[in-house]
This record gives sequence, C-alpha cells and structure tokens, in this order.
Amino acid sequence: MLGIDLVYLPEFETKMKNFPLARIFLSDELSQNKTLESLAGVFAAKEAFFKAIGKKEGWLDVWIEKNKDGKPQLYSTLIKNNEKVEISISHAGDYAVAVVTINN
Amino acid sequence: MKTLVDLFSLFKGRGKGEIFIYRTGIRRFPFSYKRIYDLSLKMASFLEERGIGKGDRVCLWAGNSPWWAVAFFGILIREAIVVPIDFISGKTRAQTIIKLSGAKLIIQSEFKLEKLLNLDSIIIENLQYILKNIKPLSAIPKPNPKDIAELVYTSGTTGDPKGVILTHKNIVSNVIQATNHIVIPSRFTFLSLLPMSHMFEQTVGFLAPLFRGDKVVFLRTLRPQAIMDALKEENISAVGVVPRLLDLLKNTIEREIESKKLATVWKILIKLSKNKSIKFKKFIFYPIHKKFGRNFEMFISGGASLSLNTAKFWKDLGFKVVEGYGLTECSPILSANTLKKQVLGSVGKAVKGVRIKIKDGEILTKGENVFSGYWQNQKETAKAFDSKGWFKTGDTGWIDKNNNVYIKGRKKDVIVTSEGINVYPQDIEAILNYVPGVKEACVVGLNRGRGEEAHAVLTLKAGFKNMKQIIQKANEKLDPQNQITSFSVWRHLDFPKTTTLKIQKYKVLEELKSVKEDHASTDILISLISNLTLKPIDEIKEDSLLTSDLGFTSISRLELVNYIEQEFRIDLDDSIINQSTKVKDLRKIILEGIKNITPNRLKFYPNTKYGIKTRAMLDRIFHFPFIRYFFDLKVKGLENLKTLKGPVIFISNHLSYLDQPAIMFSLPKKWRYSTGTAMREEFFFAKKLTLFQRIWKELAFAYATIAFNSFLLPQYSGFRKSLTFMGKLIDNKVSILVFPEGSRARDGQLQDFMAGLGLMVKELQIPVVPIRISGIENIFPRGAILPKKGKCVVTFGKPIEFTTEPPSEIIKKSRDAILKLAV
Repeated sequence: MLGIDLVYLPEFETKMKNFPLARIFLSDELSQNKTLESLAGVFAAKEAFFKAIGKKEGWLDVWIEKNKDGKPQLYSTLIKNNEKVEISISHAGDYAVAVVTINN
Repeated sequence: MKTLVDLFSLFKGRGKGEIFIYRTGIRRFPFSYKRIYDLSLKMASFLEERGIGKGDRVCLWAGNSPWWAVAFFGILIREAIVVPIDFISGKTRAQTIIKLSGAKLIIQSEFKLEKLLNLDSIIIENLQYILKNIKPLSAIPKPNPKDIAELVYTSGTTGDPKGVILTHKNIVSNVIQATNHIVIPSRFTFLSLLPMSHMFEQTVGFLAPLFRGDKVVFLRTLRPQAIMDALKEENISAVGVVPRLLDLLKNTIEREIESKKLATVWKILIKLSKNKSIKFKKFIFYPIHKKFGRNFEMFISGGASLSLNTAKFWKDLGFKVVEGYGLTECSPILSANTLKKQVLGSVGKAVKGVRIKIKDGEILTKGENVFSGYWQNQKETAKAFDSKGWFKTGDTGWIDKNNNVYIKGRKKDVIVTSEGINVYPQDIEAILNYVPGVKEACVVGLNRGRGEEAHAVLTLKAGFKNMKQIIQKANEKLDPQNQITSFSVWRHLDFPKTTTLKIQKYKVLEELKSVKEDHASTDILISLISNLTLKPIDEIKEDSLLTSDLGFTSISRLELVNYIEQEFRIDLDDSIINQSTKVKDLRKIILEGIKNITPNRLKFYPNTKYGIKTRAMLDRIFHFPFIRYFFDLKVKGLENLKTLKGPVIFISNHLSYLDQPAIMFSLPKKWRYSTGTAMREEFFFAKKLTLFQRIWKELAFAYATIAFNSFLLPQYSGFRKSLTFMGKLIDNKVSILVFPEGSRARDGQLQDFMAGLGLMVKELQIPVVPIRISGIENIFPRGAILPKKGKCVVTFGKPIEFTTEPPSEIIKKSRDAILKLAV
C-alpha cells in the first residue's frame, strides 16, 4: 500500500497561521519540527499515510517522530504493526513531499 | 485590597477550594486555590532565576488556561509588568509589541506556527514540568498601587499599536467596582471563552471571580461540542461573550427550529410567554435551557454593541443577557446592567466610582480605573484627554433620566466587529494600496447582518480584474484579526472626494448600502466555499464535488471544516470530507447534525456502586473459586502500589485469556474494584460474523462488561472515543488495565507494543504500573479449550511517571519495565 502527498509551503503557511494546530499535530511533533518546512513535511506524511491506508481518519491518530539523526518514523493507532510502515520526506524550495508505504 | 498581589494573597486562605477546572477534552483537571498559590510563587522564583526583576516587561502570548494564570501572577509577584498578547495575533503583531514594550522575556505556546525566537522564551506547555522542581518564592513583595501592573496594546498593525498603561490601582479598583455593581448572590462558576489577554475577560471572567472566591472553567479546545459539554457538565452560572457568539447560537437554535418544522409552534410559544416571568419561560423553553445546565444565570456581553434583535431573542427565551460597556483604557468596565435589571438597548448605569459625562455627543470619563497614559507615546496620550483631564472614549452616546447609558457609535474611524475587535481602516487601506493592481482602496464598516464587517472597496488599475487574488495578497500581510472578509469594486472611475482629496467615506457607504449585492442572498455555506476557493459563486453548485470540482486541497479542506464548525456550531469529524463529498452532502450534515451510525458501546455503569456490588458477587461465587482451583498463585511487588495517590494505567504482558482474572485476583480489593480493563473491540465485534457468532459475542461482551468491568479499545479506528472514555474513568478515580501487545504472545516472547499506549499516557497524565504474569501459559495457553492446574506468578513493578517523553519513548520504557520484571 502506497501514498504520496505534496505540500505547497506558502499555502501551508497562510492557512496554518490561523488554524488550531492542536487538531492536527501532537505537541511532540510541534516541538520536534520548529521550522515551517519540517512541519509541512510532517503534514504531508500524515496525508500520504491516509492515502496509503485508503481511508481518511483523525489527524491525531497518526504522528511522526524523529530520532536524533532526524530520521522520521511514523506511528499510528490505525495499524497493528508500526514496523511495517516506511516513510520518506523531502523538501525543495516551496515544496515538501512525503511518501508512505505499508508492507504486508 | 490595593494591588493584584493582595488579590493573589487571598488564595492562600482558601486552601482546597476549587479555583480552576481545566477540561482538555479527554480529562478534567481541578486546581485548588492553594495549588495555584504555590505554583505562582514557584513561577516567581523561576522568573527570578531568568533575571526578571521589578519593572521588567514580560510578554504572555498563549491561550486561556490555569498556566496563563500562574504565569500572570508569577510575573506580578516579581513586580514585573505583564504584557498580554492575544493568542490569535500573528508573529508580526507580537514582534511589534515586543519591540514597543521592550520586553525581556516571552512566555509563548507550542501551538503557534511562528514562534518568537529572538528573545528569552519559555514554552508555557512546559511549565507544569519545569515548576515541579522549583522552590517557591518565600517573601511576597508589596508593590505600590501606583506601580504599573500591565501594558495592554490596542490594535493597529501598520500604525504602531498603543500600549495602555494599567497600574495595580487601575485594575484592582475596577475589579472591586465591577463586583459591587453586578451583585452576585452566591458561589458562581464562570466559563472562560474569551481571551484573558483582553481586559473584558480578564476583569469580568477572571480577576473578579477570583476576588470573590468563585471557580473558573478553562477549555483546551473551543470546538462547539466542547463548549456545550462544559456548560452542561460544569453547572456553569455565567459566561462572558461577545455579541457574535450570541448571534451564532441564535442562528443555531433558529436552524434547529426550521429543520424540525416548528416555526409556527415557536411563534405561538414566544407570544404566550411574552410578559411572563423568567421561571415561566424557563419551563416553556426547557429543551433549550437544558443545554446550558441547571445553574445557568446569565450571559455577560461586551466588546461590541449588542443588536436589539439578538438581545430580544434571548430575553424572550428567558435568558439574562447583562450588557456592559468599557475600554481597555478603563480596565475596562465603565457601565453595566445588573443581574437584577437589564435595560434593553442600554449598556446600564455607570459603575460606582466612575464618572461619565457627555460632551459634544462624546462619552468622557474619569475614575480610579481610568489609565493615565500610553507607554512611551506622549503624542497619543495628550490626544486622549481633554483640558480638564477627562478621558475621551471616542464613543458617542447619551444618558437617559434614569442614568442609563446608551451607545450611539464610534467617533473615530474605527470598525468594531461583533466579535469586539477594533479594526482600523487606515491600516488595511495602507496594505491594499501597495498590492499590485490596486489604484485606490477605501475600507468602511458595512453591516450585512453579521454585525459590522471591514468591507474593502477598490478602484483597480487597467488590466487587473482578479479581485479575490488582490484581497488574498492583502490578507496574507494582515494580522489574523484584521482580515478583509468582504469586498467589492467601486462602480465609478474614482471615489467621491473632498476639495483636499480625502475620500468621503459616508458617501461611499451610502452607495454601498443602496446597491443590492450580488451575493446578499447567497447563503453562508456557498460564500464560505467561494471565499476559500476563490471561485465565483455561480460556479459552486449543490452537486459540485469538493475535491475534484472545487479544488479543495487537504489544507484548504481543513480550513473549510474549521470555518463550518465555528459558524454552524457543530463538531465535524476529521474524516467528513473525502473524495466523493459534494456541497449538498455538507449542507445535509449541517442541517441534520452528525448522526452517530456506530452505537456507543462505552458504558460507565460497571463503576457505580451497584456495578461494583454485582462484580464482587460474581467474583465470590464464580471467578475466585475458579482461580483458586486452577491457580497456584504467587503475587509479588504489592508494596509498589502503596505509594500511589490516584488512578494508574496498569500494563501487562498478554499470554492467555485468563490474564485479566488472574491480575484482578492479585490486586488488593481497593484496586480490584476501581479498575477497568481494555478489551480489543475486534475480538467482540469483528466485521464478518455469522448470526450465531454475533449472538454469542454480544452475550460475551455483556458478561465481560458487567463481570470484569471491561470496556472496548478498538485496534483500528475509533481510538479517540475510547481515549475520551478512559479519561472519564480516570476523572472518576478508576484505573485502567491494558495489554499493550494487543494479542496473546505466541512464543512467550514479549511482542511489540501498540502505539496507542503512548497517546494514552500523554493525554491521561497518570503513572504507569508494569505487571508481569508468568506460568499462565501452562494453565490456559493459546488454543487450549480447558484449563489445567498450574503455578502462576504475578509481579507488580515500580510505578513509572512520565513527563515530556515522546510517545515512542513512553512505549519503549514501558516495554523495558515489563521485561525487567524478573520472573
């Protein structure tokens, strides 16, 4: 199962400035992603995950944590085995993109 | 009481009396006066460590919560100056306020996208952990009442905002004035919805209640359902509101009447109760009053003018709306109606100690609550007072023979929205005039049924036609509170101007009002969609697909959901909009509300007295004899439970279906009958079951609920619902037993833990007690049909208290704790 999402940073910035962030992100995600780009990457990863499982669920049912090297790992209450999920995030200028695969 | 520190000192003597209730949506955290007293002294100590001393300005940029209060009092105890910034303000405004006030430190929130990083900063969400190990300040200073307590900045984004200097004396005198004016006969519980950074909520909904020893309820989220739940569950007596909220609630009620086809019945009931008592009205309109809880006494309305229509609506229903009037410069209350008497259309009589007079139609005032000047702004300070020292409010009005004050309008060029926000047209015009394509911009206050809104009229340069893009560009530069929400193109070549070439705004307004707007008759949903997608209204049809036809991206969908929630006062699930949602689907949801398709199987009754008695009986008759026969049980580590002061999350490895009874049997009686067990929902309610299987599982579920106090924890979707239920259990001092592996181990090895445990610990905020069970795999292993006699050991480990660890670390530490428990 596979999902991808592309985020346009200027749009992300304008909309998120005035949106209750607690509805989309855990406090740990906010403290680990201090720049706009990196938070946009996390957002893209969540969207990509929903596409991969084929269903749109709650934003707080899935979250991304980064280890000390900055490598992202996805966790979710929506799948049994978090080990089977692989994600990759990338940035280029005004865009952030994330790919999520769930192996069977 | 002469200073805010005196007010604070009152807390010490109130001991365990409740001061705040903090509702997070999952849990309900009560705070006592003593606890807030201690925390504030710790905060003061912490601020001292950070170099904050007398006269230093400290910015407070966060939403309402007990921690805002702790920060507020901590700063004042250090004799420093509080500079509150509205949480909704953007980075630019916050930056400006920091610069103008010369702030040394900012206390800000994790939940703001753009944080201020160029000065010393404390994240308010970390305070609860930071303050744990700080010693409280031992000596409380006695500031002079004339010392500055706060600098509160009024609006203005391009032109510099003005910092209103409020001394202890200003604020305290208003707290006393307000308390003596709106006499409240008994203990009240206030619901805090408006921002405390604004003097209206600060004085009326925070300082005055605290002075009296009342209770204030804070909500972590202001979603409509959370507000309605709080009103009901907390027995709220009063809530401070702005007219816009009263309008929105009125719309919701009217919409419900429409959808239930009760319009004629409604008219009859209103007529019937026309001049009857409030008691009568409360009886007739009971279904509506029920939603506000049994103690609800009044709405306190301020910030903007309350329309007569709205005031009448609520009066007809038997609700008291106490309207008041004030300005930040007056700390802020100047006049108010009272609980006993409300004069429709008036803002009440002047509060005692405040003098109000009318000069040339303008309201002037003098009193101990009135400020003495703006921070480092001689020019504006001089303009604010007349030659005799009376403060010029800039509002026009009159006073009747009974001394009731009436507000006519604003003298200056300011638009006051129904949310009580002051919008300065010059600021918006300044930004618009620089957007490419704009020849000239003129911003006026236009009332199209939603109170005054900032309406931008533009003349465009040749070749530029896309109004929406221009407005969007301007809105990007404007503070969130100053957004342009309505706009039009001026039909003539130029604006009507005076001989000195100033735009004659009254003429512009006249023409705007006479023109029948093309979307005056369009409903709110369509205009909302139009504003967000920048698509013209005629392109939005009822059958349009939100994603593919109207171009909603994942981000703009979020925005739409948020707006619809706030406008229509209903909670929408995150998953409400998918690839096939059409406009008419949205409309249906709004009209009918969300119907719960899945039955709510989470029941609290096993935790009542009778539930416990039933369980104890079943234990005595069936379960314990069973355990005693098959189990040679040894229990270790019970001393670890002795230090626990409240409910916990028990986690255990999972080897057999008999794990739960074995653990229950091992627990001391007190814990046994106050613990609920999470059971996998999919075990009972999988998708593809035969009729026989379904009946069997339903019976098993009923028995498990009654006999084992089990509740459902879904493995896949619906986690949040269970989490909210768990919060309720914890609030009622019931612990939780959960098996984080999710299923029984196959080879005796501890499997990976499910991710939900991390979220549970973060939201429930209680310790985790690890349990290791062994030997049971010989008694009733996987696949067995009948149990065999055998030895079993249940070991309780030391409780683990988590603080700021991320969810994955919580899971790792918990799993390691179980592994470490020697068999």
